[in-house]
Amino acid sequence: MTRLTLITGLIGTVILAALILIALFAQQIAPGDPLQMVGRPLLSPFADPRFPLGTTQLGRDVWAGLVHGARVSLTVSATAAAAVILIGILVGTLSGFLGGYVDDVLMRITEAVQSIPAFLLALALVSVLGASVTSVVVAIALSSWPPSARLVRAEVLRVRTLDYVDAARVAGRSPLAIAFLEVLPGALQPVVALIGITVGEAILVESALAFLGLSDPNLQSWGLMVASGRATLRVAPLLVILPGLAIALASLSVSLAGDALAARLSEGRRA
Amino acid sequence: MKGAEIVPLMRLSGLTVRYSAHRGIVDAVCGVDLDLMPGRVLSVIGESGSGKSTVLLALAGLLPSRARVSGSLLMDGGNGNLLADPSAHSNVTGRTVGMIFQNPGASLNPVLTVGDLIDEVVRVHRGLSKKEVRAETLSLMSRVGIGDAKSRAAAYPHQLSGGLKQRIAIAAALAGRPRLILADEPTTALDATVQAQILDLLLDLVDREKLGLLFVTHDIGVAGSISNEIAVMFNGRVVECGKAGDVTLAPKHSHTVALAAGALPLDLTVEQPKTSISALDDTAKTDNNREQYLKSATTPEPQGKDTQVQQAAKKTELVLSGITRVFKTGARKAVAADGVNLTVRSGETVALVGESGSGKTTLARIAIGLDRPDSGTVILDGQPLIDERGHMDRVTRSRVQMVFQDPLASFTPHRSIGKSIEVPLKIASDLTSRARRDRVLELLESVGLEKDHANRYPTALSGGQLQRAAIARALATDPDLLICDEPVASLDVSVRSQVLDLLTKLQNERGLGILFVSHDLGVVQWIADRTVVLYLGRVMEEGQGKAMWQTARHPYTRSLAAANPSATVPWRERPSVEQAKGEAAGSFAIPSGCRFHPRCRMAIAQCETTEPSLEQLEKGHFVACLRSGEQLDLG
Amino acid sequence: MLLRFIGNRVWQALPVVLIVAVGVFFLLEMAEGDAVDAYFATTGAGDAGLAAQLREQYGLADSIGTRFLTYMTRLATLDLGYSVAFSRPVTEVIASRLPVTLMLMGTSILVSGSLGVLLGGIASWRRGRPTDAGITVSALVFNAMPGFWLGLLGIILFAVKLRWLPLGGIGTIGADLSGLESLLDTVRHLVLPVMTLAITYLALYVRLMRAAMNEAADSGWALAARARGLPESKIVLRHMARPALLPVVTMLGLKAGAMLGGSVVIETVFAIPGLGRLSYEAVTQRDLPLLAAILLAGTLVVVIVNILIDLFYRKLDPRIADTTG
Repeated sequence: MTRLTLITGLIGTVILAALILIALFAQQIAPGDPLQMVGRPLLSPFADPRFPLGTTQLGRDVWAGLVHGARVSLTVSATAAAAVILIGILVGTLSGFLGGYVDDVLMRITEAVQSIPAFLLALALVSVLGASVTSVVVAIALSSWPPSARLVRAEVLRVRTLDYVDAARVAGRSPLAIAFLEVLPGALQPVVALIGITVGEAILVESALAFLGLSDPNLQSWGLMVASGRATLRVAPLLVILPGLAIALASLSVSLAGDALAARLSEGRRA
Repeated sequence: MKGAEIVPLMRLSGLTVRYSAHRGIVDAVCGVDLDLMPGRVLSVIGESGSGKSTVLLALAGLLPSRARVSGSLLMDGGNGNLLADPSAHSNVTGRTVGMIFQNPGASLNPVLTVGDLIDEVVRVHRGLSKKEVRAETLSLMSRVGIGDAKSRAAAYPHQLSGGLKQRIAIAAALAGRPRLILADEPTTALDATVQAQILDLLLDLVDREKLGLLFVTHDIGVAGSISNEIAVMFNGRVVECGKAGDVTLAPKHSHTVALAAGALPLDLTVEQPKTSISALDDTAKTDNNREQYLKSATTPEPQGKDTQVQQAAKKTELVLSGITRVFKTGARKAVAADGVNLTVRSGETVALVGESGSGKTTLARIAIGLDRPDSGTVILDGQPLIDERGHMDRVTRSRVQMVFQDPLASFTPHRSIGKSIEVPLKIASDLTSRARRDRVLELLESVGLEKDHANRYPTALSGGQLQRAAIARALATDPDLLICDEPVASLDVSVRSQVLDLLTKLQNERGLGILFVSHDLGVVQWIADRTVVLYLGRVMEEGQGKAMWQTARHPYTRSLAAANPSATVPWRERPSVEQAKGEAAGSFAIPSGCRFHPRCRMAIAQCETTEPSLEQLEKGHFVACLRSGEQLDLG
Repeated sequence: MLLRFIGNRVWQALPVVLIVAVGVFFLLEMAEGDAVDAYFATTGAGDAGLAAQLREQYGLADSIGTRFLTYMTRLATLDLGYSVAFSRPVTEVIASRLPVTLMLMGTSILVSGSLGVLLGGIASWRRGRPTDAGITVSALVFNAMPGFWLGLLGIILFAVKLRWLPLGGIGTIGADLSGLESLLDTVRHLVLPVMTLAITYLALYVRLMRAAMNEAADSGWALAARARGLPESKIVLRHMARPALLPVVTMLGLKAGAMLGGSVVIETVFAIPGLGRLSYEAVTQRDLPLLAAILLAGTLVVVIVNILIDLFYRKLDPRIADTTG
């Protein structure tokens, strides 16, 4: 691992840890409903000690919105990314191991889903399923799994041809034991590299859906805050800048931490 | 400039190359002196990590900038020290000094046609017009023996065979009109018959154009055969240097001795290379030579093979008959095996010999059930190895085991060596876990490893240790037969003989039958009781004992033997008539009739149409050649 | 040979398009309420008789099997139905919006790819130095920014504060421009959206190019080119950059869909009347047939872009032509 990866990885991990803590204790840090009108509209930051970052056009506390937005953003993206990787592992493993028709059919479907512009698909899914946190998770999962499925399949196919798998066959291991004890542990390692990227992207997709007003309207999220801040872009640009910064920070910290983790693991594999 | 006879082409003295590593400074090369005269060949030999390639890169000025280089290098009569003057050195690179590398595929840019590639070098070094450039390129290509240069120039590297690629690389190296050729294992990645052609080409350039050749290799046989002088490197130092004959025949340094012992030369008797078969057929004498050779080489002499093993009662026989295997990729069909018959019995070692694409590995995999033939049967003691449902029962499984080529790749990376050896035991036996662990330690001991090795992970062991562990694993189920796929090919020369000794020792103790796949004729001659020569999926010749190579009748077998450099036979004095022409067509395009006929120097019209069958000439000696009945004219 | 290659690729793409078509049909089936419900919801009317008549007219009252068959046969004749929201045939609506999006997406792919190649090349050239770290890290930072936000920042900075560029749209409204002036006007309008879209995907290409150049620098053929005494510029351009382009081009194809998806938000932010904004409008007006048609059109665009990129790749890598026929 280069020094740069190490440093950026550490920074990413620290920011991510802070964000997770904020999300976990959102209710303690900023009690109450962040969508409630609590003060005069469009207060600038530091003007009122009760609202350190000011208020929105509707008199909502910006700080509370950011804090509670962390919860929505991280939960949705982590769940969606977990689903993406699980679907990827499932499809990729089945495809790689079974081969033949199963592989053909699964790969055609993967290719088809990958050919649909992912965000358009997510958009369509949310609009069909209705605007809720669950449907956002489902939409992200169903639109972004193909790359992970292809990676897992490629890895399964690669590892299957290695000599140690033949050695296990010669030793008399059953196909199932070979799949789970020999091939999968090796094939799934590169999937770790996907975690950071997938979560980071999920954060961005979630925020974009919320920005377009397709997330749960009863939950304060960063994307929604940017969208409502647009109306007052000229007079109060901070209402757009702050929540966007939060999204960028979250996505960046996840991908930096993920990169470092992947580099660490691939080093461990070589040593 | 003074007469070329007196002024060395290259004079290197006190070369030291240092790298700053995590833990202090590492000397990759330490105080190396080398001299090379025009028209001479100097070989630098050593194992991986000896520093031989670093010396070569230092000579070409191609070391990475973090390397700290000291010493002096004078080139072609010039009096400036090139090591102290990087810009002068880079002027020399490509002009006075041309370089060729081990893997011709990797040294040619894949997205340029070979003509464009050579053009570029010509253009940079010689102020020629556009038209002259291509003409010069074509003449360079024919100079390195490429026929039909014009159409070949339009080809991309991936469309050419390994030998042609290396010729292109040589042509590109010659484009700047160098006086000195630096060659880094230029034939190691090539098949034996192709290696022979490239060596011919290089020596021809040395003789005709009075170039100097610095040849880096791990193969003492090649070095001894082609060089005037040899320098032996070990741990970054030259430990022995002298005339080629002195170094190979009377090595002084223990490391040279170890190298010589590990490199098992193919013995065709050295006195009279141009004699006829009958005169060559003098096995007693050759065996004598062999013994002497091995005695001089301090390794423990391998125990003679006892065909009457103790467990003679338990005679196992694995019979492959009529094996045909075709791999389909898209519309293309690769024939890996075409009606091959093969038998391995307990106590004997059968060698399967062939170049890349001969199908030897496919046959080995079929012999152990890792692959299934399209037609033909594999029978173990009267029972099919695999039943109709593609299943192989536990007992059969445990009776045939395998040792792979790359020992590191053959161990599951996330499992300790001990646990890996335990896997076959767990499946094949009903031992308790305690008993299994005891058995693992026992096995490790029997292959010369320590108990402690059981807890280590594959990457913590050396190649030789890993291959011993792999043998231990193969023996875990107490098999009758062992399939060994190039078991020593990826090991350093000095470790090879130890692993081969271990194999023969275990064979004698347990009465193992061994199917030994190899491309190394020296190793095969040393270990095999019976040898089967494959060419493009078909058996060309099968013979018995160590004399097999002297009595060989098939032109292909003879060309293989002739292509094998021996440290004691100067390359230029070798009978070149025996050489095969060109390169194998590849298993995608099997020639009609006798598949060897396009490369055969003895082919007649009938060979193009009639496929010869394998006929017995004398007991245990089979040949598939239409002209096998005739007395061979060896010219 | 080339024609056969294109033929093969089109043939391979057919099942993909077919699967998407079937998937889209079932996606629509999943939706609660149909276009008529949506129409009534927006117009406020609610006559059951009219509803039944409309359903009859649009074939919404048939069984699912019949509807599927009708859907597929119509699709085959490029009849994508009628947009309730726009009161025009869907094909017409899409055709009027597609060119702008293609322009936005195409320029963004080109800008993103070439900037990525350039910056990745520079990063590799200065491997391990501050320039390398600077390029790599800032590409990552931009990659983490949501496109809509970056677009809004661009608007705040360049349109509101500096007043260098227009706020949005695709041309100055009311200005009667011609020829070069009109072109310049379009370019001025496209700068922000294209840069926004390009920059958010830049990191991918920078990383790929950097890694590929590093690999090429360590490759046997770069070493061999040095040993042949070629000048550094030739080594870098012909023997390193040329082969290193290959993975970048592959990635450009893989990310074509993402670029198209990204244009949904970008077009919304910059008020560009393209396919992306159309999909947003379809969603807000619950015009699901229109949305479905956009999905299909988007897929077709991605498939075609990928075939084009494969063709380009084939030109770059001679090894492909020999294995794919």
